[in-house]
Amino acid sequence: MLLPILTLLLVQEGSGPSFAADVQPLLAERCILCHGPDPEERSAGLRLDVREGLESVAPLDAFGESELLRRVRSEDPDERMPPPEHGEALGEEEIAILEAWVAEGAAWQPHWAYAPFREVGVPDGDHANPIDGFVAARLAREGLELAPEATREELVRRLYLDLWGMGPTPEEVQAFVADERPDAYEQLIDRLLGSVHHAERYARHWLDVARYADSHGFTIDGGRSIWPWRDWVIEALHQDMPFDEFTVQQLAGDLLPDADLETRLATGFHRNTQVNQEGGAKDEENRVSAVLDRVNTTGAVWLGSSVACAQCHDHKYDPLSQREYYQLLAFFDQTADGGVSTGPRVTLAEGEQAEAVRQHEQEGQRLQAELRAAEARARGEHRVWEPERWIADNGPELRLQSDGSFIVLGQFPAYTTYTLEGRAPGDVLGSLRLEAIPDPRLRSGGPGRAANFVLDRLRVLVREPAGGGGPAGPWRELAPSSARADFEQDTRPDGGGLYPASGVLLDDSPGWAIKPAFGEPHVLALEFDEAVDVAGLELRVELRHVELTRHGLGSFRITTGSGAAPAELVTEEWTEAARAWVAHPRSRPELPTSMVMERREAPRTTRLFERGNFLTPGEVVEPGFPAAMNHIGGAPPKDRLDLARWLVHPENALVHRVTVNREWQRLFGMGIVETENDFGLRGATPSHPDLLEWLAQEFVAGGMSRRKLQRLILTSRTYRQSSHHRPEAARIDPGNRLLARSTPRRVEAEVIRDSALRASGLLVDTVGGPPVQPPQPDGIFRFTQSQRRWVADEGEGRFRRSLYTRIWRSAAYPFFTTFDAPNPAVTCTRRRPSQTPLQALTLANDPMIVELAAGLATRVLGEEEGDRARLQRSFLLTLSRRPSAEEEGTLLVHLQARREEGLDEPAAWTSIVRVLFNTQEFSTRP
Amino acid sequence: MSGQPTGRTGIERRELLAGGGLGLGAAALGLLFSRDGLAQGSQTHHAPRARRIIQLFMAGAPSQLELFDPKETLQRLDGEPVPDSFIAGKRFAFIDPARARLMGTKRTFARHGECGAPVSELLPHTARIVDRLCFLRGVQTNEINHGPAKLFMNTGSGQFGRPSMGAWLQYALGSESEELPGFVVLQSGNRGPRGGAPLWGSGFLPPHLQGTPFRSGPEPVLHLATPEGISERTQEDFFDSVAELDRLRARTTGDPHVESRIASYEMAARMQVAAPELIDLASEPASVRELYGPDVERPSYARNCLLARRLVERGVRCVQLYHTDWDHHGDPSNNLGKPLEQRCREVDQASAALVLDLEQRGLLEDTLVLWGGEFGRTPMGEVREHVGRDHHIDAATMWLAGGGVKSGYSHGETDEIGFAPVADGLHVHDLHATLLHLLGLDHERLTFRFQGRDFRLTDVHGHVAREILA
Repeated sequence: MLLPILTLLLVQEGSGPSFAADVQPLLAERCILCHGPDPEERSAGLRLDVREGLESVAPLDAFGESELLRRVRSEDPDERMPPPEHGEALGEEEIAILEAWVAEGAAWQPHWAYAPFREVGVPDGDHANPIDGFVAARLAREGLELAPEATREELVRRLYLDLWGMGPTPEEVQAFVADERPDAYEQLIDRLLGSVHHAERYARHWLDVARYADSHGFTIDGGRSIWPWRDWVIEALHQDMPFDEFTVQQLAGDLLPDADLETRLATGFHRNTQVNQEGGAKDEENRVSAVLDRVNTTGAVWLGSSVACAQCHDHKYDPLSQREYYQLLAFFDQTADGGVSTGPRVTLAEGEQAEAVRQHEQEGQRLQAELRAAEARARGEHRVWEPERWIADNGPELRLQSDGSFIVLGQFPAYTTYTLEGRAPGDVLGSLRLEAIPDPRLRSGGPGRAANFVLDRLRVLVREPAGGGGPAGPWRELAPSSARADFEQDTRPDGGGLYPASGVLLDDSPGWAIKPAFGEPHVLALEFDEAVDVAGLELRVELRHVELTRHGLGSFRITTGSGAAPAELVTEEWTEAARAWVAHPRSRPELPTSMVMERREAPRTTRLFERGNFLTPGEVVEPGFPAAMNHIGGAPPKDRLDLARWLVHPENALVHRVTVNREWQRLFGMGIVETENDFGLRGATPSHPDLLEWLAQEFVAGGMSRRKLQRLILTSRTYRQSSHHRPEAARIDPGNRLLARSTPRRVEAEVIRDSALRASGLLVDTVGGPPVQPPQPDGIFRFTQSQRRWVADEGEGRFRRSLYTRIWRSAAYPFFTTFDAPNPAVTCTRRRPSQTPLQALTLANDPMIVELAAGLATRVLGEEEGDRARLQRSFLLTLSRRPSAEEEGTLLVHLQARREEGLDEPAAWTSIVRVLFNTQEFSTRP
Repeated sequence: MSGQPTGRTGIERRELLAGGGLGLGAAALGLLFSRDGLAQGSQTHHAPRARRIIQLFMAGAPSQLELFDPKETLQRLDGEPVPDSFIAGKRFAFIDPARARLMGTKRTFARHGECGAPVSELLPHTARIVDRLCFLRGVQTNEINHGPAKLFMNTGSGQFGRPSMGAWLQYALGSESEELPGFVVLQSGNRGPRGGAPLWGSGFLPPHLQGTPFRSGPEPVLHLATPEGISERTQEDFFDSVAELDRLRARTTGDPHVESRIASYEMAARMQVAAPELIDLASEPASVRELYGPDVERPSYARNCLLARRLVERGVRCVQLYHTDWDHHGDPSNNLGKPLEQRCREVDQASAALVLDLEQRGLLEDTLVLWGGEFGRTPMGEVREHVGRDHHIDAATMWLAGGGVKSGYSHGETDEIGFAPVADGLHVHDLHATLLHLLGLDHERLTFRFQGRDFRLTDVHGHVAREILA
């Protein structure tokens, strides 16, 4: 059923078959899996995707035979290609294509998408806009012409939906319909393209591409702040930032010589990857999966290529080896983000805010310095011991801080012992202090991980170090004479217990705890009546916690002295300084932050992953561009900046073809290349190859201005065609690939909602800012782990444009998903509209839609008098046109029935608007 | 849209529909819940043994060692370190294998039925139906954490973005219902399953193939109820007026697809009636309620089991039940003591009841029921406040019942400590291949072209476990 159409699209005018349009796709479809770039699949060492291979079998030999033709025509199952177990024999038409091509000399060409730009002439004819020349010429071959122009009402509605993502007001429709200036259409386009509402509409397209969401994803799906990047996109589009700059800033804005806050903010593009915050999650695995996603997204968005195939093996169809895939990955492997951490990020502060933050930071430094001084004074002759090795068993991590203290991170096991070892300080050990230190990162400031801690046992051991060829001696536990602390928990009056310092010396008695004196330093001192000779020995300190999950020490230091510890273990000065420091972060001015990319300080060695598995790293690879796509010379690339600049180099034809194709798709519903993210050998053939080639070069020549490109397309007759059905064209070209009319299509979820908002008069059209939460049905979060509640905004947040609605990856806004908004887990370069009864239920019954219908009804009742005038107004507000007599009749009957039911006027008119919101026309771009 | 290359699979017609969106007038009705699937025609790859599937997903992963897979040697080695040969090069989520100790179970097992399958004291109702079950004792997966592992069990990949098995089935087979979605998800337990909507997502398949999560309470589908203050008559007139305006407009635009649009509104109107009827259990006799147990009277796993039967009776192709909180590491709220007992009480009777109920109605012969979690649990204990076990990807036990599967049968066997299968391991890809096979589909031929590649549920893996086919 499809074949005739495909053939129609493929056969070029006049001449025989074209290699690029006919022969290469045929080979890709039927032969390349076994005779392609993947050495593991390759049969007989033959490649039909490269010139040498094809020329070895295709051209006629001295006897006038072609091995290729002989094999595809053979009826011997051992000879025939493809072999019976690999597929059907080629059809007659397919063989005919190959025969004609061989007869004409079997000339090879590189795949059109990867080739450098070729010159194309603009078709002859009386066309003000060259686009129409290309399209009309192609239509003429089928005996078709462009459709008549759409009505002015349809045009203005189309433009608003395409360019602003919401329908026009009746006044806007009227202004255009009545505008008699010869350039009224161009004036309208310029006004729409220059508006920030256009930037918002197109930002939403780019958010699809960027897999934007306001949460981290995976199972925990915590919230994230990256909306300032979204606002950056709006601003960049509003300024018509050239696509090369737009690309470079987003992929490598942090590496630019003149990098600033704005260009760093732009790098949020590739921070829209997910972060797995789940306990037990493996950091490196998560980092790698984000990096892989960046490579795959870059491949789809800029190279229009399904590079992901080459993660595990050489690409089976396209000229991308597994090694080249990891060379691309090497560009992205050098960033500082990764693991469960969600940094790095930039803080966005302006003017006074920035000053306040700076002062706050300075104050923090001052407080910290005071604290350090107070600590040192309280220590007397004690000095901080610097262990050389440390570990916590059963999962937590001890992290050494610059001030010699440890902070404890990671898991909360029931049992854990922190063990620290190193050279014993000095010659004699008279006493040892354990400083339990408060820290703002700990619950209630610590010093325990649960605010409190219970230290069951504190053991001090020494041994002879290894040396002189002998092994280290056995550990020998020292027996302190006494243990005392500045504070001991005594909760006996509340039914709790006593947790004395002395408990740490015994195995089977309660240990030391400090409730309720949280957020303050506490010190436990072990003293030896007789100083122990530790000269030349190794010291080991064990801090044991038993059976109280989370009750580990959160931050601590060990100090030692040759005599007794100071009598006053914790001074008042120290306590005060510590309290002030712990409390300080709470007074930090609240400023928006945004996740960004940053170069990692220590370079990472990138290795290929055998079979795509990060657990089996293979050979080391350096950054590099895929050879078959690279026609630009220059020094070997080293970082993301080189990659970004290469992508948008004026001669990188592939990237510009992909870009203009996507812009075309935004306006026509489908690209000139239908497979907008796969320009490879198995991708679709362009419906208008010369047009694509010409547009891409115009784009580059125009300084990669998207606005110029859009204007060029929008002013074409092709764009302005009527979308009404043309049976004669549909018979030849049911998918309307040849553009014998404009293709009507359902608009996106956001456009439906924004149009209803605007028509109702309730739209709040402020630009940018943190995400908002309009109403959604109860219980959406029941299905997620987090059981978050969605508290609907009251006031403006209900009525903002849809792109500002908060997106949780695990529980997206149901109205949007019902209407095919993409899952932000992966890049989406094209939405595919579906039609389901759930959509009908939503538009019919969603209280949000009823609320907007009621808003519109109120508006119409206030603006007009009389049923017919009100009906006309309702039509204009929702469908941008006046009703026909029959439509009017239908709705007047509906209205009358509501009155007979006893509804008041607002309710009756709400019912009318509900009907209009639910018509196919309301959610269709004409 | 029909220009896209097609023709590599036996299912190209569906691909046309999928890629075409609203492209083909004649297929218009079919797009609704993809009702025209291959099932009614002859385009399954082979004769199906089952026509629908109910998956009882024990989210969090129950311990096979406490429920189905007793090991004498493990009991004997309780407290001993794990022999190196088992753990070299293995990944675990939390425990440190070098320090971990083997842990025998505290649960008592007995052999049941004619087949003599061992079932623990925790599942007395399941124990009574073992002769109707096919145990899969060596189920293996690749993913060590819940989110990815659940995705893997559902989509054959630990990464987001792939279609779930239910979406694949709808894609291939369509739905048999004109009033209800073809793939329905029911949930119970304290929280939703980790991972959320992608577990039943359609990935790169058309979005309408994704599972529809039914909500507990009076409105199982969003926006099923007519908005407050709108009478039945107004609602009827509303649907009529919308259809009338759509038809009038189509006279101007010539849109050949308008009837498909109207049909989707008609189905919506029918769902408004059918879905409340579905969840109204008043018509179920006392004997049936008793079979499922007292929990059936409130939102619960038991009630969902009964709903699952009512859904498949009405032609729904794929029903998934998630019951949460099986992640028994040894925390106060999640351990192999009371929390495990509680979970078992919540699911045991109703799971068995569902199998019996389907059987009594003659539905079991062409309905598959699959019970299990996303992975198994370790033979080693985990050191926390209570007794628990860590995630384990090398061996889990699941059971299957119904259409085309051997009953009273055990497939696969684990080693003496239950660490890994020694015979007939069944990787998740193999499980998928086998389920598709039972439903009449060849997992290697059920493909969809996306970003230049023909994707399968089983990626490039999977073997049908022919041993379990009846």
